[in-house]
Amino acid sequence: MSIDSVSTLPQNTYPNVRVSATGLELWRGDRCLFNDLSFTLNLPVLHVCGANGSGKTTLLKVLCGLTITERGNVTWTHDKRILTTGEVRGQLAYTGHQEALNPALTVAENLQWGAGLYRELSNDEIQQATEEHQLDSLTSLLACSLSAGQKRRVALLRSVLSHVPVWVWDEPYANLDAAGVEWVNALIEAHVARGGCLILSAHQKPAINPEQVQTLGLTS
Amino acid sequence: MNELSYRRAFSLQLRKELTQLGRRYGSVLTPLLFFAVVVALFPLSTDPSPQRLATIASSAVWVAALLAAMLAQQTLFRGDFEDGSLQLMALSALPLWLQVIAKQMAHWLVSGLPLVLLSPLAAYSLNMAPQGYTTLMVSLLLGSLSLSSLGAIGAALTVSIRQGGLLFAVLVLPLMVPVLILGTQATELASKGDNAAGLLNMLVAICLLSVTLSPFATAAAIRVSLD
Repeated sequence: MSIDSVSTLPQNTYPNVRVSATGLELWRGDRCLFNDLSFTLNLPVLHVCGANGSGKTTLLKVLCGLTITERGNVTWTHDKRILTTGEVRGQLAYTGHQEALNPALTVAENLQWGAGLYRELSNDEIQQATEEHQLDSLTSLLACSLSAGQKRRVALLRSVLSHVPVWVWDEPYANLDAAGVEWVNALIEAHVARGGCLILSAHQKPAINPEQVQTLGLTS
Repeated sequence: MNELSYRRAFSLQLRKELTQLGRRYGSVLTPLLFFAVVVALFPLSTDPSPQRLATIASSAVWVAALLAAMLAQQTLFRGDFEDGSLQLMALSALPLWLQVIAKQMAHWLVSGLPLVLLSPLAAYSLNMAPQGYTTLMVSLLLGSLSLSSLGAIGAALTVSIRQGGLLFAVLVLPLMVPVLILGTQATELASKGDNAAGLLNMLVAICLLSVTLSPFATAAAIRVSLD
């Protein structure tokens, strides 16, 4: 899939939203997940890697503002201007371990709700986007009848539909087949080409232009 | 944040909840069925003479309604927590308290309101004096709104705890007791032909307080539970 074919993304480019962290310290019980963790994201993609249990998911939740650290701060900036918590919330689409798909709703209804949290969108737009990403055969199915990989695709498509500059993806490649992995990489490249920012956790480095990827390794 | 996005936050959440509740009528009907069964069991456990039943009618209906409301409220956020939707709601730019109000309202419409509408039937089966029916319905209307608001706080606080049921009861029951006392007393008075306006006024006060303030507490509790 070429970048130009992804027309469901907004035509204008995204604002230059970046994140940095200073001196993060977080404990879970008597286990220290990270201590004095600092970084500044200068590139469009932040790849968080590390062994199982090293705190990748927790770090993503910290960056989103879902988890509060014992010490340190996370700063989101838009062209050097520091964003408030409220401003950050409107700029960030999160896809966690769970796909946030309600099992009793259809795929279309789930997308309508999930992307609707960010902006007003019509049924036609959802139809068009699902057709473009070859998910249109799923739109009328209940989310509980999808396979794990299909759920992941729908959840990632929700980020695309949200039209926000920052995507935070926890293990986007989990449960995806080879074509799915390629599809995710194409999404990322299209997002980056429009000036978007992506923070992802994954065990392998995403197969996109390495000059755009900054890697943050966590040790347990 | 403008008026339009407030309206969108509300309608988005309300539509989602009503759609999904409409498809899970099993879990929607459980509290109602529970209410009917508890009311039906009371005559079996006591002397079933009509005079005797009339004396316990208001408390029986109210206790059954309270327990049914608790049953319905306990899992208010469970599904959204498990599938991750709650994280999405908390991270959205739309105000969380407004989404909470919409969710609560949808649940009240399918579990609280039918209870209020069913209550005269339950009262009739327990031989309550017909002059008490209006007060019973009004007090249950106010009471169920308060219970659903108070229950939402408890549900949000205990949603991340695996066996949160007991904690939920311990947290929420003490808050619900004043509502129960006022509600039964008002119904009792009215069924004897007395004026229950004073007690109903107090129920109105509790209802207004809990309905207006609880969404903020619930939203804060959700953020704590997601940490």
